[in-house]
Amino acid sequence: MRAHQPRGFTITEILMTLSLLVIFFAAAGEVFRSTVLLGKSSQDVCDTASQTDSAMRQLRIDVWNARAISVPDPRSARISAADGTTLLWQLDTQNNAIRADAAARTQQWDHIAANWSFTTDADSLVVSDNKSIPQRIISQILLTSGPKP
Amino acid sequence: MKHAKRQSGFAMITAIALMSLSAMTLTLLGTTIFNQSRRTQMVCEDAQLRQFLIAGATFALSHIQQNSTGEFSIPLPEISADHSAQLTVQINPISPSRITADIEASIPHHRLDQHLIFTRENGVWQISQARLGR
Repeated sequence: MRAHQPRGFTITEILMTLSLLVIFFAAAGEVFRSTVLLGKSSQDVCDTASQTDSAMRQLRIDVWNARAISVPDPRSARISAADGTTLLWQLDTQNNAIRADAAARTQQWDHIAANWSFTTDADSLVVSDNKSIPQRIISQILLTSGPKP
Repeated sequence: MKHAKRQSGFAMITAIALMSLSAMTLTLLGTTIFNQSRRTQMVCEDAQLRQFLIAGATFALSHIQQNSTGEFSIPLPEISADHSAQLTVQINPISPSRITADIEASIPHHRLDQHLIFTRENGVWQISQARLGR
């Protein structure tokens, strides 16, 4: 005759299993949350970098051909191009960078200019963001024309 | 009587799910780091190429002052030449008071150029326009 086999689990076994499940689901939830957050922040970083690069490329092209650069205030820069037109770069309160040409056509790069400020020296425009090394953007014309009187 | 052994596979499925999530996280992290390092490298290369263009403009200006025109390949410092960097200047006279210069700087997989217009004022050549290209 076979010995009686008890069916089911003891309370200790159930408590152990439940504890392990809780720990497992907490860890799984955290991994899932990290994955989603990382995906989102990775996309944000990529978008911001792309926008910033595009704005800096345009700013570099504008300054490269500048005959004069003035900074009326730290959030705007006026660039007098070699062809006589004036370009205005402004950083608005929503941290958008806005470029306006002589015909009042505007280009805008959204939310890239947090803490950005402009300064100028003899032949360049300097863009600072208080975090990284300031970007010095040179004017080829001013650089080659030598020291100013 | 033989009892069939029941295996739900719960542990395996959850382990696979967790490993997939970890793999996704690592892939995303790797992609982000790769993109950022590539961007940093591009920015460095761009800065180097702009330095070459500035050197090319100075070279072109000095040659134009001496009425020298044509195509020139400018010798670069050894460390740049070792990386197959090249800098060429093409000077074209348009009129007695107007000369253009096309300057191209390149390193493997990356190039930058600029188009300069020189005008003569009071007997001295000066850059009157500088268009940065790509």
